[in-house]
Amino acid sequence: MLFLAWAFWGIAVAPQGGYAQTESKVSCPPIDLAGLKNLLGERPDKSIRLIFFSSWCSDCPVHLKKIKPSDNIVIVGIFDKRQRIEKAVKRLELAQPCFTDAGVGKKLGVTIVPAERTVSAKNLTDLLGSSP
Amino acid sequence: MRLSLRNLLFVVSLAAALGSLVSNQAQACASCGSGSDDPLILWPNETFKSYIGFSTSGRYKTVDPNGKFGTESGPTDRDSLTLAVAHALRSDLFFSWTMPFMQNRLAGSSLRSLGDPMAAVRWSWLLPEFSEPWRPQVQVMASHKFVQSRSLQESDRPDLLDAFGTGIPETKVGVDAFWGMHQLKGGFAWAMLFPEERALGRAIVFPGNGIRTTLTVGHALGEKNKIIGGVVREARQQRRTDGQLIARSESVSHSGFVTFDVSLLDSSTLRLSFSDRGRLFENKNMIASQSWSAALLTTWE
Repeated sequence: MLFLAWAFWGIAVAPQGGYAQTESKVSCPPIDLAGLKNLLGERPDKSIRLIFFSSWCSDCPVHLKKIKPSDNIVIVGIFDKRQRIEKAVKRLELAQPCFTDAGVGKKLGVTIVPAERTVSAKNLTDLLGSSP
Repeated sequence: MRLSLRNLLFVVSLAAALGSLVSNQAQACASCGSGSDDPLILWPNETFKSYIGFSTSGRYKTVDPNGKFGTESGPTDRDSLTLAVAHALRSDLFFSWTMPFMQNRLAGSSLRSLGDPMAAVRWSWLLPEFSEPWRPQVQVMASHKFVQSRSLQESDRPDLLDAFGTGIPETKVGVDAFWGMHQLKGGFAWAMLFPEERALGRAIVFPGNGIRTTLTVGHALGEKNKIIGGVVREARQQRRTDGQLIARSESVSHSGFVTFDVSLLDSSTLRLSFSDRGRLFENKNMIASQSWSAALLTTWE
């Protein structure tokens, strides 16, 4: 009975409970290769470190919390919905810009989470050249 | 060279291990479902996954309606090589196909056969979220076991060495819930079992509908490995033979299991399991056994 009560609480009560955010200021818009190019365009002499995560990944919070503030790091939610990604970023109080994957991960060969990729203007040109 | 099941296992395992070196990376914590119900559980990032497992079981004992142990007259040991593949149709829906190959052993003699294949489908109703760590993963599962192998009632041998299955097709429908966001993990699965009535030998047999309940507790070992243990209870209604209910034929069995999942090369998981059936709690009208297994799970896409 205790187990069933726990199950009921987890399924029916907790999602509307203390963790639920009524007003979210976090925005993680979709990002594709063109969007990534725009980000790099503002940083011609730099590379960008992309950190991919999913809200259902139990290993991801530990990984994301290790990130030190830096202006060349962005967080990308992948294999997931935007709403869940934004909720996760707000929950961890991450300061880095965040995005919802719209094809970047596949181009960079991301198949697991957490995952990291570093993209420079040069290798992005290669990726854009190979895109259909 | 005589190709025994063990040699076959070695060759296939080697091929799978080499294959895993060239396959894509896999989620480190794949298959976090409630343990022993289905061999393969896919995460939303996985579209194709394989399972190859070898198990050996023995210490067979019959358990009578009073729960007393007796001597099983069939094979003393069974080796199984199980192959399974799973493919995701959507990020929240996947199906799997499981095919066992078996070898029965008794006093220096052995016989091999295909086991009973199983098709399964799972739909994720709820996905876990680390922003809501008490929210579980909830999946609805359904599977069907087909009959390929011979049953005890269909055996042609006095030593029953050619019996590899129950001889009864069966459909399973249920739910599987798992809380995996904390170091301490847990879950349960609950399924209804619907066997089909079938002619076995000279009789038409119906083994009784059943309920299978699995309780699981697990703990993360570092970032990538975990240990999971649990108890499976299976209870069935009375058997029916030629339309007549058999008195005191309802069965209950309890199994305990422990599973270690070790992540290899980010692309594969090695799963080591031990299971003991019929020696925990109350058991009746079943066959007790112990089994050890080692399996390699690999995500290809």
